[in-house]
Amino acid sequence: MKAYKFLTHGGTGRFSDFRWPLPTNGGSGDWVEAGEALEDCRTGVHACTPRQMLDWIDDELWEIELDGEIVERDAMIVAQRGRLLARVTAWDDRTAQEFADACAWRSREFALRGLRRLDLTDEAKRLVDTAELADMQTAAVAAAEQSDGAAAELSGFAADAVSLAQGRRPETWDTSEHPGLHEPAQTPGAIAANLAFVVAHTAGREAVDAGAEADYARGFEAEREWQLAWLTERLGLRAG
Amino acid sequence: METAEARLVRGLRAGDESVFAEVVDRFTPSMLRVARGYGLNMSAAEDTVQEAWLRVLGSLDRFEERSSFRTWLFVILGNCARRRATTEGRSVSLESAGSAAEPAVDDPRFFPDDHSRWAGMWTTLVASWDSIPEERLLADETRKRFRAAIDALPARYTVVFVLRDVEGWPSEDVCALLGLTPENQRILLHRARSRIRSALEEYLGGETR
Amino acid sequence: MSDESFSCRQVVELVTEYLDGGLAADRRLAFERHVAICPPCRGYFSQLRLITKTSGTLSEEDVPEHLRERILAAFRDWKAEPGKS
Repeated sequence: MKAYKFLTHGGTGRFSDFRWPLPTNGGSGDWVEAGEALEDCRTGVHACTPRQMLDWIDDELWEIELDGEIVERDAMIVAQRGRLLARVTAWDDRTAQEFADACAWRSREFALRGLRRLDLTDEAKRLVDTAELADMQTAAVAAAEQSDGAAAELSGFAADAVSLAQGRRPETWDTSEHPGLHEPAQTPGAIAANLAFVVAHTAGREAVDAGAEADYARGFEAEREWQLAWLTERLGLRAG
Repeated sequence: METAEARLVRGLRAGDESVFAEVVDRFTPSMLRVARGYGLNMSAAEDTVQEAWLRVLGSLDRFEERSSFRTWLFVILGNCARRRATTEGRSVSLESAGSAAEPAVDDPRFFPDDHSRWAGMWTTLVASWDSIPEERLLADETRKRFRAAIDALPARYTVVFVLRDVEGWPSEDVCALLGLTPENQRILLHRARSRIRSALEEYLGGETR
Repeated sequence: MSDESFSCRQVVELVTEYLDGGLAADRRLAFERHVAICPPCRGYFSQLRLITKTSGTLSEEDVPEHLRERILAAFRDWKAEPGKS
């Protein structure tokens, strides 16, 4: 069975800290055996369907072949053995940053819906009329100040998304105040993982504002679908 | 390790000074730290370590191969250290994990619980140390700061940290030696690691506090 | 989907338990899910793990020379005792 796997720069598992044998010219990587029986999520080779990938975004993306006993769980696929087939080279630091920026722009959509529900048309228009992320952030901050409740929260998320996409923390904390911190603190892959989650969460919060608490999951998943479509098209992912 | 241990015990019983020197070199630095972890100052810790070695030599005929030498060594050391601490009027309670929760990271580094969007989340950046080159990690300056951070630990954290992370003992052995529940042992270890992390954060890359 | 999700404050307190393999399966997954999408927690996790890994190399350290001499002298005295088998 073929699936996908994210690794850190240099081909190491984020949690296992295991350095994967990489494919050599023309061949696949060596088989990695996880053990006799798959007990729980501690044992086994972990891999992802395209949808599951969104929860585990990281620096490098690999196609992986799985074999032996294979269990498909909600969060991941667990197999007895696996070997790396090929790197998905279309996913690199640059693509990760583009994806993060695309997600940041998406957060504007949910801020706008919140503002329009309150008839804050001026703030909405100002937000729409931006073409640079920095300007979008300024407009979102202003909109948050002019609104309250959910609309303020959603506008706040849009402003925060711009900071997060630059590897900064939400709400103004930035590294120039803290010279001991080395830049970058995190890789573009880590930033992409963060943005994708934060904006899906924003979509979930917007769905709650539009409907009810129970709508959170629907809004969250819908945004995940948008992210999956972006990555599928950009990376040439197999359906799954 | 069994074969090496058997060789070691045989050499000690035979009075082989080179074997004794080897095992002294291997364990004394950690023994000193553990003795200090019982509340002793450096001079008292040195006395205690010497006393422990002499007791080891005097009890060699009673050592049973089925238990591990290093565990036996640190049991003897612990007894000596506790006795010395008592005579000096110091006592360090290792059984409890300490007073009310000491958080691993200072509170201002997290958004408050009533923040509308980021309750309980980091306010600051935290650098990844994954890409620090090995040469830097193992360099003398780094090791010196690491040791200083260990030496600066509160006594009650030191013993658990030295035995678990420096000496590599499994959790059960540390609990057995110190009479700790697994939960308390883990809390002490976590706090020790957290303090060391804070001490090294600026040097290895991270926020200035 | 896991029912439980952690804040950063909670994750920071759980790292040692996670590294010890002490978290139950659902909490283990919730921990990993959070670290996967949270850059500061990724950083914190990498820092604690590195400390845990590097500490083991610190056991190689010189014994203070004066103490070493004292201990070896005591060994020789012990060895020279009459009646020692």
